[in-house]
Amino acid sequence: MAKTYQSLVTEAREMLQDSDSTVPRYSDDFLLNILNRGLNDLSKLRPELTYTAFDANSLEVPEVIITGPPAADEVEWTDTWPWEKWFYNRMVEYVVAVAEMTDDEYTVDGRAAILLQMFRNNSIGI
Amino acid sequence: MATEYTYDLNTILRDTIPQLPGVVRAVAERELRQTIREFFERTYAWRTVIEGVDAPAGDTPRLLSDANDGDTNSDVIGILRIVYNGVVLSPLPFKVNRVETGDLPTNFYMTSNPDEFKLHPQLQNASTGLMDIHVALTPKDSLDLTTFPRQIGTKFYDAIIEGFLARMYMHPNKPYSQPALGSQMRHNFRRRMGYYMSQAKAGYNDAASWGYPRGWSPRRPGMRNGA
Repeated sequence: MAKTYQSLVTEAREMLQDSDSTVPRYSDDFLLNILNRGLNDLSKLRPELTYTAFDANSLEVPEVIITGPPAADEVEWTDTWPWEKWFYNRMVEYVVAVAEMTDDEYTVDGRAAILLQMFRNNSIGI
Repeated sequence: MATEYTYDLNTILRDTIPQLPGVVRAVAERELRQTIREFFERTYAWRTVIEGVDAPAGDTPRLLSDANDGDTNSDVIGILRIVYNGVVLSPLPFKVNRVETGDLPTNFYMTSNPDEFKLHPQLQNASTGLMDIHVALTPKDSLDLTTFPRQIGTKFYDAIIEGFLARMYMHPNKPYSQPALGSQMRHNFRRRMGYYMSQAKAGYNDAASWGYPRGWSPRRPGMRNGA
């Protein structure tokens, strides 16, 4: 099954132990904001990612939104993940890490820092 | 044009992406297209003859664009020889100062683009289908182009691979960055381009690309008595 931005948020929730949709600890908007910031960070590390991924070959990173229709600089979160799968894994790490950083009460010590380091190292290294 | 676009971009990518861990495929495709374009642009190794070309009357440039270069996937990057009604026209480096008009041109010269030329003397009347033009080609710069001339697979394969990997290894700060190896491969690529350029000049059949001078000027194909 094709990966989407939405499935990325879902997988991040699994790592955050936040899979109960009736009482979510993090809202979709909250995690999506992290994802959008992460995409910008990722495009800084790997600027070639946006080369052909979006309309008009723009090098701008579009904003992922939940409800459409999307504007020219937006994509819906049900859209297919446009890059190789290993970048998808990196973004899951990023979303989990930043979510953990905001959650002092439940966070596991050091986990956020480790995940952010993994995000950076794995994005530019093997 | 007898070019067969049977060589798939993915064939080269399959052979090279294992050496490029962490590469973004769209970027690899782009660099590969650029490598192929560079190879043909520098070597003039892809040559063909466009037959039966029309010539306009007056001081009008003849442009070999998509509509009349016989191929929508390629661009003309050099005009090597023009035969007008069986007579080889001598190339001139620039426009002749005097204006002459007639129906039997003897020379041609390039205008601002490599696919555009004018005849001298300029034609009094337009002609239809009298010109055969020997040209060098390169694939068009297009994101949609996924198949290439088959000579890439039969003859130039290793050169293209080295040129492509050189470009990729030169990328900064990537998992596959290897500037030293990239530099070596770039060196090899340039040597191979020189080798294939000389082969192309010899027509790929060991023909001599030069001739002994006759009279007071170097002999050119099609000239009579050195004139």
